[in-house]
Amino acid sequence: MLYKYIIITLLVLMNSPSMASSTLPVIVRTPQYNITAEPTELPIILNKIHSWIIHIDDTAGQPVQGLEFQIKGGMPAHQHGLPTQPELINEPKPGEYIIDGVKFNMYGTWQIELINLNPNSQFHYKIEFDLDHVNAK
Amino acid sequence: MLTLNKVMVIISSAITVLLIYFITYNSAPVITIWTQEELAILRSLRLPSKWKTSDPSNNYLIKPQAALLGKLLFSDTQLSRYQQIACASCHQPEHYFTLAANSDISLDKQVPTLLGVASFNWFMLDGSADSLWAQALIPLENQIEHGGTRTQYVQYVLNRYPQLYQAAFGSLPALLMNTILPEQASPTSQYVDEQKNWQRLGTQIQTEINRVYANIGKSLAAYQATLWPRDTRFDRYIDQVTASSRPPDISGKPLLSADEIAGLKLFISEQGQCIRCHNGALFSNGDFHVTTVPMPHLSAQKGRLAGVEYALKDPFNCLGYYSDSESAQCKELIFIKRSSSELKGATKVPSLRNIADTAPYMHAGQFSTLTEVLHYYNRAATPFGTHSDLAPLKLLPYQLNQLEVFLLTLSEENIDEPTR
Repeated sequence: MLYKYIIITLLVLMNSPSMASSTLPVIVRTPQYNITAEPTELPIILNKIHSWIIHIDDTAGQPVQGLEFQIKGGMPAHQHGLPTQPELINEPKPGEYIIDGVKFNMYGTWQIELINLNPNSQFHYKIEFDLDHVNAK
Repeated sequence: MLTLNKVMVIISSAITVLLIYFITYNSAPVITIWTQEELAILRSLRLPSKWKTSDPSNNYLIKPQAALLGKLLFSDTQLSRYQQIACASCHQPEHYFTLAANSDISLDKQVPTLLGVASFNWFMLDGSADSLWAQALIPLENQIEHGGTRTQYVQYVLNRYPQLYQAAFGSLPALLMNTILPEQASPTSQYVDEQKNWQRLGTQIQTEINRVYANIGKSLAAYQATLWPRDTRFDRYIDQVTASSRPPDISGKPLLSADEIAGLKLFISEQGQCIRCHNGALFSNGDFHVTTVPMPHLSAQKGRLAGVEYALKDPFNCLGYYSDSESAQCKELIFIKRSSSELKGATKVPSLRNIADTAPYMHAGQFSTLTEVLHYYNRAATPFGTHSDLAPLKLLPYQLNQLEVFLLTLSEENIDEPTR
């Protein structure tokens, strides 16, 4: 009986695709920045273009303004990118960035990457989360 | 010793037979308990009680007069250049708006069903149209389909259906009504003299012809926006398991068999992978993916990679002059993904509704049976150096059988009334 539980536990662990969470907003803490990201509307509608709001503060809690970055991303486990090409469209308040054109076409673990347009910049952060039937429909 | 050998042989044979039986015919245990996560997935696959459609580029999408004109044009063979075919010749209403395998007409690509088509964002197998009305115009000027030109269609519709056109789109275009137009003229005609005819018309008349031509597309789209799939045994099973907290074996006999339920379980599982692309009530995400299926159709060789460029240049796209939308509403075009290797060979994910009754399969009908399709996905060999969105399923034969019997539950019992 014990073997059975061990095998089941191992199988479950092996089949766990990711440690990402479906909780929104996604919070990314780095040595330089605290990034908070969430869709402007919830739930996320599968296969529909929508926008995200990204707050970027420094570690002292001060908003980081004037950043310019491009958006990439995708599903690492499936080896494909985002189905659209989202763009940074606005910074309505200091440190608050709006990206539009985001679409997810399947459930699972997604990444949205923020990459500074300056090639010499080290600004490259990944927002990872699980799109599931709780946060999306 | 000899006897011992015989016993060993008999035991080995028995084990082999049992293994083969288990692998081939193993019947899964009856699964009647669904997790909350699984129930949420099942609800997302059920047909909605009411469909919501919108297309900001088509103000006439839900206008009944436009839909009526579109319905008449859809079945009107007189519209085509040689008065022999109509949209309904290939999108056969009695066959879920697809082309029956035993039809007199043969095409080198699959005809997708139109049931539910209005809920998609992109059209054609390579996504070369960003609206249903822009898509409707493509076969009209395709030389192997309707084969005519926009000038021919505009004159035909204004002469044959003037009252209906007015009811749907307002007054008749005075400039066109008072001008003698060439019988055939289009910038995309297969014939040089018809292209020259177009050039001679001048910008003002060209614009008026294009406007009426766009309206023809919009009326065909309005009709297609009335075509929706109907509930199947699968949908009723979803009602059965989601309506009550009690398991179905208490509230009544399950509407799906044990194997069908096991197939459904596989379909929505990470192992089955099906729901990655075949999600939502139409069992399609409406997007484009690479299956590297052998012998791709010419338009599938580049697939979405070329379709994107076509859609961006199309004068009848969402950002074009004949669109009814504000530019900001054209997000699918504005945020379109271009020039990615992932797009090469990517084709549109078809709906799986009524799939058992709409053979053959894949975009060019490469497979005759669902069994062949599932075996292909089970192996999913990817040519070296090619992007593929498939990973081998590695399912056992009995699991493939379960998936197949589940897919049969997506068929409507009868198709007397395909619309609602």
